[in-house]
Amino acid sequence: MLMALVWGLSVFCVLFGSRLQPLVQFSDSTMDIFEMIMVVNSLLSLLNIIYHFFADPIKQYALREQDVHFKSGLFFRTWTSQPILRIQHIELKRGPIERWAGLSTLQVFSAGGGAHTFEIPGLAHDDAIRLRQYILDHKDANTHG
Amino acid sequence: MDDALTVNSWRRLAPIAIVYFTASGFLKAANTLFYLLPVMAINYQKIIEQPSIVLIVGLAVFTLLLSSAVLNYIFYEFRIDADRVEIKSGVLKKSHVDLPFAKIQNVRIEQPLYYRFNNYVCLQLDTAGSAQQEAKIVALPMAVAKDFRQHIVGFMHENKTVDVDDSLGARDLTNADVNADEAADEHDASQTTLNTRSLSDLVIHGVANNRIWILLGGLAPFYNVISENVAQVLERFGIDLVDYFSLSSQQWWQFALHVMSLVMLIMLLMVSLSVIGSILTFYNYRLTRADNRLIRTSGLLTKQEVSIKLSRLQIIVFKQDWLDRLMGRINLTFEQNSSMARGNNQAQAHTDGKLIVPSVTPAQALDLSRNAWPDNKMKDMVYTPISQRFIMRYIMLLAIPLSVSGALGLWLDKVPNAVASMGFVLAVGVSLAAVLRWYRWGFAQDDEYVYIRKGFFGIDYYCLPKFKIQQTALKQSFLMRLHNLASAKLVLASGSQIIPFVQQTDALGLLDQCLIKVEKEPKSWM
Repeated sequence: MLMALVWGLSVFCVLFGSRLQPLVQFSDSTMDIFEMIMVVNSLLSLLNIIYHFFADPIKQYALREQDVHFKSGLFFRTWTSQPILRIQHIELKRGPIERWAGLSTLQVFSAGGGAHTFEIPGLAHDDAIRLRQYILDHKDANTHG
Repeated sequence: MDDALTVNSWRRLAPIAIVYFTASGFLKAANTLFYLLPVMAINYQKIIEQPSIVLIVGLAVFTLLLSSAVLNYIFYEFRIDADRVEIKSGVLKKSHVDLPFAKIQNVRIEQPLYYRFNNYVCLQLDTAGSAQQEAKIVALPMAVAKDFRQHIVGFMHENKTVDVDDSLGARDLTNADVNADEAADEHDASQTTLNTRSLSDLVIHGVANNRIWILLGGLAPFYNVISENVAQVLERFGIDLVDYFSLSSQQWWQFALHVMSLVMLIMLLMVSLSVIGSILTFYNYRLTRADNRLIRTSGLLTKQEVSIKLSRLQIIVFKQDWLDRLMGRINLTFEQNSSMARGNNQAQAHTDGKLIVPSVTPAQALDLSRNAWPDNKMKDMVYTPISQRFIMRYIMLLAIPLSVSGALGLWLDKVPNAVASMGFVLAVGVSLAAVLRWYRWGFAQDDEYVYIRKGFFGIDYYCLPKFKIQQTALKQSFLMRLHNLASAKLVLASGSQIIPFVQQTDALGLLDQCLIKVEKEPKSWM
């Protein structure tokens, strides 16, 4: 939700800033379109924030001996299961906001290709590191990936 | 290893490679020429006045191509070590590919037309990694190339975890090594031919399947020229296209007749082009099995060889379109790792990760699939149908909005009635299509495999081993949850398969079985 909020706000700021800036003059009709875009953006951001307010608490993960699972989605719910044996490599991803909030996103890649990257967002950084270590240790024991 | 490939020294290609570089340079130039067409069109008059210019420019271009080919040839060096191949190439933009054998996924031998007479080939080495790491040795004698391939395959045997039956394969391969010199005849001792396709099979394939893009891809640089010429030829025969299709100068039935005859003509043309395309790619088709590999060789102008290691095979697909059904044929596809199916060219992408056996009879298809996976029961399974609510989704999401907009159009009278009523026609079409799609869709499983049946007018069967699954997902919309339905998604290295709208317990059961199989019997999916 934080991400949605920050994203919406920053787009708004950019738009608003360029509306007020004195450097370039636009015609009135351009300004009208501009204001319309700002309204639409605010509405969409608001919807996005509301969606995430309800959808984010539903996101859950589970770790079992042999696989990781992730559940998400408010209207369209998805349970993704990733057998650890099939994992090819792991990444921890942290954007500036995530770093500020002490969170990380764990990304797990299998041979299924980029479109099927298994991802757990918003993990506490320590949990993410422990999770990654668990998977890495698991891989050492089994080399059938 | 053969003496022809001395280990650990930089080697140059055979001079015949200059022909290859010239030809590929010419193809590149033809692609660029396409963008120059407008310039040429503007200066058309001038060019006509001085035909010598054409000659001079042509000669200049040819000299340029030839000299760049010679330079490319001079700067191209390759070296084969015990465990890797290195290629240095490029005149201005240098590149140095260093490819360990362990990373090589596939070795393909290609023989363009101009190598046919002296039996030279291009050796394409595919990797699972990025496209930059692909290597091509552009001129090797056939025997050396085959020898090299055996060497790499042998290397893979030595260095990977080898299954029991694989070690048997390694022994046979050394056998094949000995024979490599006589292998010009393309018949190694260890290979058994599984299937060949006759010319009539290919004609059937061309008629039933649109292979036209093979031609279209090759002709792309010349589209404009062709369309201009066609209009000119028609005019010469006294056919004025504008008049032929004008509504004002003729009755509507005449117009309809003209349109119909044109459509028929185009269809006829497309079918014959498609047949030509099919023959071009699949001429002299031979599917062989050498130990644990399936190898396809075919091609009229450029001989292609695609090989798939059986252990890398991810899914077997029987495709049967409605025309195939009428003729009782099936297109059988063996698919492997899709990371190998790369390239902008559709024809390229199509041939890379997949091995297709065009238009075989159902009995042959079954035999071939059993040859690869002896215990698969593709045709014997009883398929569980998916829920009828699948149809409801399409009616709610597409058919109803379409009819509503159609009705609105009629009511508001803002658009022509014909356009508005199209909404209803489309709605009916979508609903019928959804019914057909639902009727075809089904799934089944046994201990080892998941089977999926789907299609439209035709029927496609998919067979995939459970232990090769990379990831699973269960998907459920709000409405599906109310009715205890769910969609099951199975991700393989060759792409994903989805089974929509099945009973939630069935979907969970299926995914559970798959995960158990993957986790309990850790076998390599490659």
